[in-house]
Amino acid sequence: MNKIRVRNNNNINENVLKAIDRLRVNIEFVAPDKRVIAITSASDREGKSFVAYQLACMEAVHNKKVILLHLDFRKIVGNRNKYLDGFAQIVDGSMDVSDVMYKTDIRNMYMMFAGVDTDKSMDIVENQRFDKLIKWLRTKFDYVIIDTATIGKGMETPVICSKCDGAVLVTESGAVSYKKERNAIEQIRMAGCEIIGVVINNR
Amino acid sequence: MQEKAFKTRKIRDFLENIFRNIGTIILGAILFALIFVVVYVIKDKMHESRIVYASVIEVRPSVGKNDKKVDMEKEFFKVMSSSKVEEAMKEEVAIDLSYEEFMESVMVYFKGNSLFISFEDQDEEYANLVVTKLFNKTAYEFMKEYSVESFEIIKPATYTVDASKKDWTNKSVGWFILVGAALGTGITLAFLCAFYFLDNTIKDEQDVREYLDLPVLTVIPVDKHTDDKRGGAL
Repeated sequence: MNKIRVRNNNNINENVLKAIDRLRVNIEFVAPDKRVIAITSASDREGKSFVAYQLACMEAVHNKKVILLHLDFRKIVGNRNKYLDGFAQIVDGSMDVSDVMYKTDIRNMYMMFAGVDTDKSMDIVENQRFDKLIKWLRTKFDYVIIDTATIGKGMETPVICSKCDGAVLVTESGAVSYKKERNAIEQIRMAGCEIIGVVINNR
Repeated sequence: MQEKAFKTRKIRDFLENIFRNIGTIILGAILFALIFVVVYVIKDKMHESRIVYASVIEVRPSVGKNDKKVDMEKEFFKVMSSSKVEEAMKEEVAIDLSYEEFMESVMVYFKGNSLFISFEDQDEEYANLVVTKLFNKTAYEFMKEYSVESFEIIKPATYTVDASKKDWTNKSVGWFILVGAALGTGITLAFLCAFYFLDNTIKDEQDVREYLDLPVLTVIPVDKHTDDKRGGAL
């Protein structure tokens, strides 16, 4: 299995880590049966990736086997010479799960990425292989945390949410109107996904 | 009950918002006070440059028995512009300009039974002298041509500020500063109110419960030292 080094949390403020721990506890408390969780938001740059990553870390630290799926198709992960393969390659059959799953330097924490074929995001998430993969991950991990694109921007986000047990909506304090948030909530609910709750970032 | 609590919180938040922006309000007040002072100074300077000082002489012509009707204003000015008066004036009063330009500063008008002659100049003594000489020379030539027996000087040449060019304001600069500061405070407050009440963004847990009817799982605080380092896993 591939290995990957993730961002260290040494610089993160203690109060921020406490807030993330509170998020972990509240999810377990509010939705104990939810194990595939999408992290989304109504607008860009509200802190989805940060919350998703920190939540995954926190679960891993608390001895939960967790995988973080980076499914924001608009943010290709990697560098110019080597993009990280992922779901796109599994769905088109060119690679196997073991080729695109990464073990991180944090114990119990794994990662998978969208892959390079980002133009076909809808084809990927609507593919049966995608469904099967999520179901398979559910059996292998305690938590599957999915970092998605912004609800309004990524057409695939509601589809991803529909395959999750629940969604967490991240909102940056004072950045997005409640009308836009309501619109995002409506779209998530229309996709048949339950909203676990809201994370207020940067308050 | 819940609505009342919501309104109370909104008012408290609003007052907090005003308190947080006290610096902005002070800045607004200072800015407007400065604008008012600048306007005051500019307007004052402009007004000063427009003030016209003039020397005015008031005379009354006595008309003879066989007189025909004479347009005093027009005829007196005509005689005043004639070459005879021009020569005499050039001899007796130093005139830098041409006589035509010189005459632009002269005004003749009839009011009641009196004829007024005015001459504008910044030098008071010179203006008085010009008006007196101008009247004497013109009156001499005028009496020769028209049936006017004499001119009685009602009021000798006096240097005066034109009555129509009074001070543009009777308010002091302090008054302008106060009004500017008050207006600045008011306008800044109005803007703050508008921004606050038009702002429909989600800010805190209460807003989430109120507008979205969802539970808040956590509130991640601001950390200015590490906020720029926040991001995803890689």
